[in-house]
Amino acid sequence: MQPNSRHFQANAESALREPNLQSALKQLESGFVAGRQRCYDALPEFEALRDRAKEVLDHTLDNLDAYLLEYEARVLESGGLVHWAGTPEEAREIVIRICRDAEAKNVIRGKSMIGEEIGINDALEASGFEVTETDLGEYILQLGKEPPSHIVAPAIHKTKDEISDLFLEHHRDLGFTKRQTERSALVNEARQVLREKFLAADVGMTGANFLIAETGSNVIVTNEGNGDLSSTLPRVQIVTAAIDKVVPTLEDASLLLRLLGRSATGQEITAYTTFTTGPRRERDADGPGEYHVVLIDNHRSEMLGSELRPMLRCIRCGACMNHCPVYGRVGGHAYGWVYPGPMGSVLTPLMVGLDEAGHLPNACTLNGRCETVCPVKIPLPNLLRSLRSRQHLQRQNSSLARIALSLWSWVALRPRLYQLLTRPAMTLLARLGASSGGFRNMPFASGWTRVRDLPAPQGSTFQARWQQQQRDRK
Amino acid sequence: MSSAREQVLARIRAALGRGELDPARTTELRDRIAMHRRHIEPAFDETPRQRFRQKLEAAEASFVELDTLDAVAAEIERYLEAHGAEKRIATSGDELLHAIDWPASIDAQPWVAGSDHRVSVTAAYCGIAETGSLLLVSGEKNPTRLNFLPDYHIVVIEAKQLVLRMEDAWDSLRASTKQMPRSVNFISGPSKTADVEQTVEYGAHGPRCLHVILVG
Repeated sequence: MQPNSRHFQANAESALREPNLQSALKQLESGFVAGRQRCYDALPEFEALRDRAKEVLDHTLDNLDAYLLEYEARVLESGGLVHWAGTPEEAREIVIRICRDAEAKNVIRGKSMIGEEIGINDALEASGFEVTETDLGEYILQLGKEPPSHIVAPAIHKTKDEISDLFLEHHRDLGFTKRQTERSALVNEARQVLREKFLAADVGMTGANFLIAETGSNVIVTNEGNGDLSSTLPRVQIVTAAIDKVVPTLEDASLLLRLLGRSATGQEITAYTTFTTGPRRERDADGPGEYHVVLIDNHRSEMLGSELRPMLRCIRCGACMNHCPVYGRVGGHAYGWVYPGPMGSVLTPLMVGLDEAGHLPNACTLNGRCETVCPVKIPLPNLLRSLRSRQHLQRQNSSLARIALSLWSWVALRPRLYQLLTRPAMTLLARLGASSGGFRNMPFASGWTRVRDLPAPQGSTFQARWQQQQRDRK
Repeated sequence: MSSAREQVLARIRAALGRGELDPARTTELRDRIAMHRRHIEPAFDETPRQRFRQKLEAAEASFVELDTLDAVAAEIERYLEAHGAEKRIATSGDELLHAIDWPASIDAQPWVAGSDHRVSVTAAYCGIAETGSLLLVSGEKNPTRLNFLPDYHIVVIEAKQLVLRMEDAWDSLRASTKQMPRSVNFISGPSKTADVEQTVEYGAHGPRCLHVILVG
C-alpha cells in the first residue's frame, strides 16, 4: 500500500472527529487492555517470562544467520522449499512465480502482517489471480478496500452497520439477498461464503508467528481456524515470514506463546496454535503437496546493525498500541501505513523512509506505557527518541525546531546559566498564573495552548527545591 | 551476482560485525538446540485433570468424563441428539476409536475425501493441562481437516494421555516420532472471532462446537 504517513496530522485530526472510530477505540480499554491486566495479575511468573523472552530473542538475533540456516536445512529435509527475498519486490515475484508454476487460479490468505507489508494482494491480483482474505477482519477490509487499522484486530474501526452494508453489496450475487444485522448472522454469512473459497483454493498463504530452527516448522496462532484451513486444504502452501521470526527450539516458542496471547487479547492461549512442517508426508491423509517459505529481509538486517536492533524482538502482539494514548485517540489509519501505534512509529520510518514518516516518532508523549507492557521489553520510547535524533541530525525537522533545540541544549549544558534563567522565569510564571492556576495562551507555545491549558509552575525549580531539601537535612 | 540468500546472509553478518560463524560456535548453537532447554513453567494448584477441564470449559468447550471406552458411543449419540445434529459422523482412523462399537443408529464413516460431514470424531495425541489444549497430530489415519471443517468436533482422549505442559508434549513427540508430524494442532476451544465490534462470536471458520470426552 502507498504510505500516507506524511499526512499524519491531518489524518489524526479527521480521526478525532469520527464518532464510530472513537467509540471503537474506547472499547479497547475494557477489552484488550483489561484482558491483558487480568492475565498479568493471574500469572506471578509474568515478569520472569518477559526477562527470559528478551534473553532468548537477543541470543537468537546475535546468531541470526546460523539459526536461519538451521531452519532452512530442516525445511529442506522435510520436503519444503525456502526462498530468500531482500526486498518486497523480490518477495512478490517469488510468490507470483510459485503460483504460476502451480497453475493456480485461486489464492486464499490467512491474516499476516508481512503480507500487508509487501503488498502481496495487489500484486497477485494484478497478475490475474483471485485472492481472498479469510480472517474475518481482513476479509471485511478487502471488501471495503481498506488497510488494517490494528495488527491484531484489523477491522476494529468498522461498525456492524458498515459490515452489513458491505456484505449485502458483495454477497447479493451469491444468493445472500437479506441484509443481516445480527453479529452472529454476519459471522455465519462470511463463514458460508468463505467456506466455498477455502474448498476451491489452489494456494493457501499464511504468515508465521514463529519459525522453529530445530524442526523447520512455522507456527500460526488464530482463533478463527482460517489459517489452519489455509494450511491444510489447498494443494500448495506458501508461508511468508520475516527473517526475525526464527527461534531456536520448540521450548523457546512455548515460552513466547505464553506471552503472546496474554499480551495481545488477554487470552492464555488462542483457540488454535498450529505447527506446520513441510508438505504432506507420503502416507498422510491430507495436506498440501507443496510447501514454500519466503524469508523476507526488508530492512531488518539494517535494523540489526543499528541501535534499533531491539525492535526485531517484536512478536506483533499489539499491546503497545492498545496501551498507547495517541493510538487510543487517533486509531491506526492516521499512521498512514501497515503498522500503527508505537511499534509502527519505529518500523514505518525504517521501511518507507524517515522523510515520509517523520511525524510518527514525534506522535508520542514518551509516557512509556508501551514499554511497560511490551512482552519482550522493547524500549520503544528510546527507539522513538533515537529516530527523533536521526531526524535532527539529517536536518529533517523544521528549522524552527532545530534552532530552538540547539538553543536549549546550549543553555542546558551550562548549569549556572540554566539556573540563572529558569529560576526567575518560574517565579514569574507562578505569580502570573497563581490566580487561574494555568495559562490559556502562551507566546511561542501556541501549539500547546491552542488545545490545552498550560498549568502554572509551583514557584521554584526542581533544582532549587532539591538544594533546599539537602540543606534542610543537614 | 550473488543470490538474494547470500546477500541477506551477508547483510546480517555485516550488521553483527562478523563473518560466518566458526564451526565451533555453530556446534555450540546446535548443542543449544539439542538440549531442548525448558524455560519458566508457570505453577498451578489444581490437579492436571481439574485444570484441563476448567480451561476447556472456560473456552466454551463442552466436557464429559467417562469411566470406560464402552460408554463413548452412547455419549456421542446423546450429544448429537441434544444438539439436533445428524447421526452421520466422520471418524479418524485412530486406534483408540477402533475400540468403539458404534450402534446401528449412528452412521460412522472412517474419513473419506469430501467435506460434507457436519460432525467429526477424532482422538487426541495428548492433552495439555496448563492451557486446556488438545493436541492433534496429522498422519496416515488422522486427516487434519477433520479438526477444522465440521460444525461439531468431538475429541476422545484417555486420562493417561494428559500431560502438564506443552513442553511435555514436545518430549513425548520426540520420543515417538523421528520427525515432526506435518501438522501439530493445539486446539483450546471452538472457533471464534471478535472481528465484528470486538465482541466474541463462536463458529468463525472452524467447528462451532467442541466436545471433549475424557475416558478413564
